[in-house]
Amino acid sequence: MNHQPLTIMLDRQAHRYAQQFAREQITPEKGKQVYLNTLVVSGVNNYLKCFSISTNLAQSNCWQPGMRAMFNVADLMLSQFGKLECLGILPQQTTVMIPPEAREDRIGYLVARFPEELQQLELLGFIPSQMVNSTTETIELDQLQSLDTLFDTLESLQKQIKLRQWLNGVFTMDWQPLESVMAGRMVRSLTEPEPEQIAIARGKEISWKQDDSEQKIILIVKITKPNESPSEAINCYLQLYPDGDNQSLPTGLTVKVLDASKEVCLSAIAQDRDDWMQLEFTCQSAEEFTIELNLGENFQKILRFC
Amino acid sequence: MEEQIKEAIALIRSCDSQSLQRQKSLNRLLLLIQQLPEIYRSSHQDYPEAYNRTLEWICHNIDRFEPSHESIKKSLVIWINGYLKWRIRDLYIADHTYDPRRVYPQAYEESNIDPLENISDPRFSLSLIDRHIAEIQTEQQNRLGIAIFNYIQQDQEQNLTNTYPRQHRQCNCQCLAIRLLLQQPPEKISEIARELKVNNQTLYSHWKHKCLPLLQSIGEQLGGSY
Repeated sequence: MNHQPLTIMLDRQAHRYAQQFAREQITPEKGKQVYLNTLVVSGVNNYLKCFSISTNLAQSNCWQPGMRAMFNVADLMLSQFGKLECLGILPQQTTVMIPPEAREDRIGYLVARFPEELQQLELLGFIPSQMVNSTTETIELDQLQSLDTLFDTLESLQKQIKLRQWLNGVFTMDWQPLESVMAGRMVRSLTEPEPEQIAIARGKEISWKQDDSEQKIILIVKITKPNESPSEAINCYLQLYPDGDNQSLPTGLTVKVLDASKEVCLSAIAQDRDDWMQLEFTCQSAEEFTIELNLGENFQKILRFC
Repeated sequence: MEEQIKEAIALIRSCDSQSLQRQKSLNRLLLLIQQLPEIYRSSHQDYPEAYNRTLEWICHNIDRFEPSHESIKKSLVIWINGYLKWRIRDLYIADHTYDPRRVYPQAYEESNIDPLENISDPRFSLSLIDRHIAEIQTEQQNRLGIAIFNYIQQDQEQNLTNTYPRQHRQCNCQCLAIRLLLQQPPEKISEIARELKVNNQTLYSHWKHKCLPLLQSIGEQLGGSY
């Protein structure tokens, strides 16, 4: 690890919360875990204020009496992004332990070291969620990335396409209604809409330069959800069409769907004269996935959804 | 340092607010500021709060900073100390320890010596914290941690003991909760998997999908009354 640590101070309020939370615990050991978790979360919370990144302690498990007494949690909810786990380490520690309850559903891990005097905290670096999976028990300090990676991660999350907001009629400008993106052409449908279903579809044009000419395809994403279903699962249909000037998709165009751990779940390749492609899958609540479009070395496009 | 500060501030000013580059440059500036020994220090117990507020203020107001000296470093120190000293004065006033006869730091004073009387600071150090926590815990008889411990140990409705992966009764949620949560330090899932001769991934997935939801609802239920 070659990154310069950033020192933030732990104020009296942070210690007050830490004492209050540690007092409820069964043993001094568990109390110390809670005390330090509270300090590190408070410290990181203060740090993020500098960048106007809004947080919500009330939605963080470590701020829930039952959750912190039960689990080893130091999560900080970043309002627009999800949970950031704040991992505090002791002065001599050279590895960071990642508790099993914090290995999923995190946007990443911010690692901080406590000095002997608990008046301050040194922010050492960041671990992106891609470096952690269900079997990651520890991470060596020399694997930490700089704090800049936290901001990179937040930016890429900001660019995520939020499909569940589509259900509330919220779209970004680039996702257009089908009538306009398909310019009146027919959209194929393999599945008839069921009467009790909410179905929303939007499309966007994707273009790239190849041999000095502009190539274009149209990506359509349709989501359906049973009307009154309590489940958060949605069905997704991805369709690719050539743009209006072409009869078929570029041969060899590959589309892949990857899950949150970057495993390929589905893929398809455009064959000669294919004039459309479709992939269909179900997406659980808060599940992230990525669509990767590829045409050899000429073109690659990655779109992140949640 | 002079050049680095100049560069960081110029970069911040050239970026849109909330942009990625601005956030990275602000972080860079904070890293530089912490290396300035001239930044005002105080041993007042609320100095950390004043310092943190000052960092926040710097990040939100850096566009308004104008160098008052030839040296940008010196100007920045004066600008920051100007704000920080006022925050410290606020602390003394809020404490009702404001004394009109006492000499308070001048906002634009360049000295970094704390002229204020130091208030002893009962901060905790890592080596003493266990003892302190043990003391405050004894003061509180009725602790949530005890209720949770007893609930898991007794498991009166046997919801935890009866939840286990097929053919692996020994991996029930009660046993895992004791070994992964109650025991200090907790064991590792991989160690338990090896000992109980279960696939690591199977055990993790059982823990995550079956045990965690059960334990969460116990935590919410017991925690609700605290």
